[in-house]
Amino acid sequence: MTTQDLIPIIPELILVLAACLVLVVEPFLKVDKTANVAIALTALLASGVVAVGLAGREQAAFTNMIVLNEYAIFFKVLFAAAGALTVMMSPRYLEASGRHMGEYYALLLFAVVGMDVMAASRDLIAFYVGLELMAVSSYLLAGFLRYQVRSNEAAMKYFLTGAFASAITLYGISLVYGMTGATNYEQVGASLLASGDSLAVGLATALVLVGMGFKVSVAPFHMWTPDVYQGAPTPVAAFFSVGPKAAGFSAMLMVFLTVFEVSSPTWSVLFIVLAILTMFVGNAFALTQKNVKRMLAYSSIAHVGYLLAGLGALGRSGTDLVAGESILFYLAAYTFMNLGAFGILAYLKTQQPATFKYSLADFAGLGRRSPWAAVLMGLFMFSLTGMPGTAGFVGKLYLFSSVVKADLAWLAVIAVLFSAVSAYYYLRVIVYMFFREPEVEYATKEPISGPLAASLALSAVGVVVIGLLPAWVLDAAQSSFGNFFG
Amino acid sequence: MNYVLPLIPALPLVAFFITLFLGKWWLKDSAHWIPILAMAGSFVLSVAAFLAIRGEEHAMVVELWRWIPVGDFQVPIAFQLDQLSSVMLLVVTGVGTLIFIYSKGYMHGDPGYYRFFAYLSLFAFSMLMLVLGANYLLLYLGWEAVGLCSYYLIGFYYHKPSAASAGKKAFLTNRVGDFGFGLGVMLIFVTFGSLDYLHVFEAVEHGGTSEGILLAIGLLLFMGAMGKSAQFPLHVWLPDAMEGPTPVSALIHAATMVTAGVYMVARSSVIFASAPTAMLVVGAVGAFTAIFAASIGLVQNDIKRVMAYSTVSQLGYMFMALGIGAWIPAIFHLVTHAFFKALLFLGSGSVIHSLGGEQDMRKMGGLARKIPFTYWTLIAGAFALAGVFPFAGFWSKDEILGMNFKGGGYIIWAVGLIAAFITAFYTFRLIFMTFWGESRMDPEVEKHVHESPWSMVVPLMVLGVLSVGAGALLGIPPEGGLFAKFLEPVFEPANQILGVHHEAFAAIDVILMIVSLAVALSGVALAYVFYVRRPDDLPQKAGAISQPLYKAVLNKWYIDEIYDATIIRLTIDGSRWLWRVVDAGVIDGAVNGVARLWDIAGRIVSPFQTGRVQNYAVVMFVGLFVIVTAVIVF
Repeated sequence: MTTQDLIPIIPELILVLAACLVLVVEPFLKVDKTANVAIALTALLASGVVAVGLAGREQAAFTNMIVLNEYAIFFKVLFAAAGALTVMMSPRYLEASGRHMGEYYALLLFAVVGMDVMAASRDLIAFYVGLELMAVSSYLLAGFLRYQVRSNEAAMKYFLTGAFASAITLYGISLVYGMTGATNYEQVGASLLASGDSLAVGLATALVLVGMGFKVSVAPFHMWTPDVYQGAPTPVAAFFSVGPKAAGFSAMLMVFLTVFEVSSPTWSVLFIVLAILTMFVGNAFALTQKNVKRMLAYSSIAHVGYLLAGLGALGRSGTDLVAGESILFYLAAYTFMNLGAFGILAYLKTQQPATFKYSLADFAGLGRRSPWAAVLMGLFMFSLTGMPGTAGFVGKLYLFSSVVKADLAWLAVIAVLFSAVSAYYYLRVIVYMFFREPEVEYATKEPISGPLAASLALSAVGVVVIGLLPAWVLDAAQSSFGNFFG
Repeated sequence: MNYVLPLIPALPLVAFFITLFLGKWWLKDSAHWIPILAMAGSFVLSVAAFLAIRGEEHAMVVELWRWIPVGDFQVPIAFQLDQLSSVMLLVVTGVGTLIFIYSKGYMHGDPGYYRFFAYLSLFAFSMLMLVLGANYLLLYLGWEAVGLCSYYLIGFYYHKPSAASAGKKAFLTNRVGDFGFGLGVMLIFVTFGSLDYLHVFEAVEHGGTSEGILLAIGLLLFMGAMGKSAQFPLHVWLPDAMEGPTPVSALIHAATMVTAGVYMVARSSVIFASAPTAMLVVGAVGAFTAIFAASIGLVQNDIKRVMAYSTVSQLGYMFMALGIGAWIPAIFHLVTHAFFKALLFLGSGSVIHSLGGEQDMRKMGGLARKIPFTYWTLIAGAFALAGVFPFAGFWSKDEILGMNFKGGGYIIWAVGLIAAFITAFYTFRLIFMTFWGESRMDPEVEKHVHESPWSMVVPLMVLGVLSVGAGALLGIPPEGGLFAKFLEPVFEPANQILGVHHEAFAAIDVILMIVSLAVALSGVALAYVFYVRRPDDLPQKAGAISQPLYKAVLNKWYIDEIYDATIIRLTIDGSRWLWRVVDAGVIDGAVNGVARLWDIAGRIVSPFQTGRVQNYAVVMFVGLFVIVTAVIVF
């Protein structure tokens, strides 16, 4: 290790130091945790800004285990944004839940570090370390409200199924190592390419695919998702639905395109089949939910299905990388709209800690009770549906058109039909908010304020700006993806 | 220029947002300040842009950002500044500023005061985007946006059923035209792979595009122009649009928005020049509309409706000019028309304002002494519209007629000349009925007649000066004046395709000028005989002699009735059938079926989600097993 090696991981170093600082400061804080919130927020912003500042200084470090390139920077900025928005929506929620502790922010920072490592790693071991760092932090975050049964259940389920998934992933990695004697992406990829496709390669592909598919909740490995999202603190669920998913996709894109280049016919078929299954499961379950938090959990599965269709197209399209670019774009768009939607849930929960149960009926009359929240929720629902003018529309447009370009028009048609179905459950929320009379009239009319409001506003701005001026994010996605693989 | 150009539309947009959000609670009665200042700012910047583009050979394009790139489909948000857009900028912001100021007085005390200025600003933004856009998609966007603002403003008094239905009529009629326009834009993209003006025109000039396709593009684009610029048979919405407040009629339905069609055809001059048949259609429709609308204007009694038909007719003149490749005279007439027609509308607004809302000319008369400022400025506008030497309209109209004659279009020239005669007649019919003779006002109204406030009179005077002098200043000598010299670079490519070359001013021009002046003056004289000398019997007699003709004209040639009996009837019956049979039967059936299917699907999958983590693990392993088996087997 040389000092030069440290340059690519400066954003992560900032986050780790901040996390430690949070833990050191925590014992000195009594009720007011503003200092820790500020530390976490500053660190996340700094890591994003530094990551952008490092652009143009592409280099590999730690004997090629970690690289700094535009691809990694794109995700580092995205993760920092997701982390920062989550941090902003947390304090009020945790106070309302009676467990506002600094450890929460430390864990969140560690999870972001793990995600950063996943996106930047060029080595299966480094990737796995990042994955576990993210996963272990996530288990703890899911169970953070430890006096609540639901939260405990979420942590337990997440941990048990996650352990299985890790084992499966490791099994696949060990097969690869056995065949090639290397763990570096390029070396493994070249070596596998030289020896050609074989049964063992197919097996390794399938195992890694299943293990990582678990992380991003691909059906049928998705079943933990609704339970965990429902049980975990709402800001944490918001974070889970975007952060680890985007990290999973960042690693999947890398691993399958470089390590398993030789078996791309196999994995692209697998992704296409799983995409259809995932879209079906996600949408079918989301349709029947009366609980909005669970509905959003299932809907996030459906979105994974759309992304998988893009991955399938990427495996088919050979040198054309447009599908990869649209996946990156979609992840960015999805981050803002889903965080926003969960943020509204967190806000409503802080308003009525006792009575708000996330059910559809609780949304009745929200338009009058809390017009700003209702309007923003409406915006996020529209975006998730894919209405023109919002980020969701442009994301779907690019994603599905890249699927069409890979000669998979039929798959794009299926995806569009499924996303038409999704309009039903998204717009239903809007119907309840604006056109249904509440069963109980809530008297309270607390305006949104503080960091939570800022988080919601920023998410909304993200949704609208990406929806109206997609070229900015698209350029970033294009240069980061095309630059690296092209 | 990179910073100046985007600011021109940005200022009214900012004014729109501020006025909309703060108007109701904060600005209230002072809501006019920000829009007026923004508009004046845009005008100053437009002057700067004009100075920068003067004498330049090539257009300047400022690209702000790319917007929704999908593969080859690239649409940059880019502004193009050339002599044509510069002229349009000056007209829109200049006349716009005056009308904004006028609105302060006219709309004073209206409950929707801030709303009015907010919409007006939004309109200004949209119109400037339309004019500045460097590609057809931005043009289309601005096109639809000005349409939207126009519907808002026509229906500004939304509680009045006639205003609401006039808005609807404008919307639906424009849809017909815009449908064609949209198809035309798509066809351009399919043919040339781009929507950028410079790119498309270069490809057309380069040749190789089949004339059939160019003809189709030209006709489709012109269909859009017919809707927006109210050409026969899509003219029906414009007279009804007079339900909107008078400043709106002046700004949107006379000076700027309705000329968007003329601008679009002139902008596409290269395409039209390459498709002579399309030009023939443009010219024929224009000429027919010019005389057709003028004939209806003869018998209208509502002061604003006379103006409306006159606008339709004058727009016809512009298309008549475009049809023979007289691009510059068309734009010249657009500019002078913007001045004198805005003046006439604002003047009638001043009359209406001073009479407390009366619009029927039969209940006016003898107003000249009571509201002298309005009277004298209106006289200037009327002479300009009638085309009397040396007022502005004379120069531009004469150029159009002259170029038709010299180009061999004798029929169109004759039609234009007759229309000019009718125009002079109805214009002075309006003046004489309103200002001369005995008062026919209600005594109650007469007591309250008053000159309008300064904020209304000053814009009138400015426009009056322009209506008197602008034509001579810019248009001497005909076809070679300042205006023509300035605009030449823009239309050079189209003129090369057409093989037009400039001819020096000759004796034939003088003769033609004298002819058209004689025609205009005889129209004025006849109106004098009819409405000043013998107002009591001659109009009735004339009506009685040509009884069937008179009735047809009075009923606007029954166009609305024909539409009612055919298109509207058919649409309603067809829609009813679609609703009862297709919608209720087929579509609802399918929707309910799909919903039931999903219900069943949900029931099938839900037992798997037990909440037990053991079951989750089992499902995971089954999934893993199936996938691995599949990989091994296949």
